[in-house]
Amino acid sequence: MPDHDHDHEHDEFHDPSESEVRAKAVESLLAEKGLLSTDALDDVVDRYENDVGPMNGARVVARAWTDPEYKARLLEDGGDAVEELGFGDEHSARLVVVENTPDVHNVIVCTLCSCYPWSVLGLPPSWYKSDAYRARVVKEPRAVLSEFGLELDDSIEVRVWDSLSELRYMVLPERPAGTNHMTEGELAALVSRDAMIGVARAGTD
Amino acid sequence: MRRVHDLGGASGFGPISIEENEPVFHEAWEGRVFGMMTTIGHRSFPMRPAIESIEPEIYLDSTYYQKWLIALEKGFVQSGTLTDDEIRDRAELYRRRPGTPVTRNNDPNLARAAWENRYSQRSPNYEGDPAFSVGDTIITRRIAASGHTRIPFYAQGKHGVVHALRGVFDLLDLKVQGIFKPEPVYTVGFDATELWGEEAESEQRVYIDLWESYLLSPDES
Repeated sequence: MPDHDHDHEHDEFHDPSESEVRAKAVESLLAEKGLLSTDALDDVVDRYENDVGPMNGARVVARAWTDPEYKARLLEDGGDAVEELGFGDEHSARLVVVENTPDVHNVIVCTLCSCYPWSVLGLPPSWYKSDAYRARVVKEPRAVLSEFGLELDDSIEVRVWDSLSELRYMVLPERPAGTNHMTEGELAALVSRDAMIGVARAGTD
Repeated sequence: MRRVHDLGGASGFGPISIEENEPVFHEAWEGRVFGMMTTIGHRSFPMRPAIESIEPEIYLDSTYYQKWLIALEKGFVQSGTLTDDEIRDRAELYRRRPGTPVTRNNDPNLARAAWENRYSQRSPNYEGDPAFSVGDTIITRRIAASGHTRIPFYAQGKHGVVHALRGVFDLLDLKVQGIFKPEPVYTVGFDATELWGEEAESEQRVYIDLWESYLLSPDES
């Protein structure tokens, strides 16, 4: 829907923020100069609000839990394996999937900006982009994970993946116990975004 | 010296603030800024350097998409596409008359170009053999903090072990200047004690993707 309809509705109560007026100024000027397709812009916003998100990654995880050959391909080349399910990366970033086991727990971060596996998880939550998470999780991951309610035994090795180049990371969480009877679709419902970042276990949300 | 965006291991930050059921975009303008950056902004100027050049006080005081908006304005002004004056004047119009419509441009050729050019990459033309192999011990270089680099401060001058060779990518330090230098990228594993000394937690490792230029063999250093 074009922005101006929205604004007409709210004109009387709406005191626009500085960011809002500047964003509108830049968008209008780029459109007027023939540089920006506002239709293409609508599409991008719509895709990331509705079509691309952690439900994609959850399907990947559920497939890996139920299909050992798929899991092997996923750990070998994450990008190719998620593309099999239709989640190719339009940014040409390469996806690496790291597996949690009883002995190893993985967690992802980008300490320099906010690199994140958009194709499988969508856009990152604010906390992932926060200065506090970026500063702390590389140095005190156990303390950070416990703030998310995840207490790890001292014997479990914690691996923090700081994704700073053209690679993106996703965690393959452990399959919860007692789920042998479940279908792939039911399993996918147990896989949260946080489990695929590595700040939660699957099935505990 | 550490630059403001280079946050790994920095002290003084409190608990992580977690918002339950967070929307993808909190306000409509955030989505528009995201879309402008990822379609046209990203191929008009290097985005990360534009964000990293935000003054430290403003960087730490701005939300994520506020930083993107500042970078969009800077990038388009520096590349000569927009002027500060026209942005200011147009913003003033939307401030005074919030109902003024945003201009639409539905030229289908533009829309197609936006998608086709999106993140177009040069395919690296790399000749040579990677200098390191999986299992090699390396030491990371110390890099002057003036320009754009992708080796964080906390991992400079540290011993690590090559965990994987990930392929060949253009070195971002130079790519942002328009120079394409393809080189191998390695994932290097570091013991937490090497990075943080006695402050390290137990049983922890950090894995970082690093271009070959950032690495030395221990006998070179």
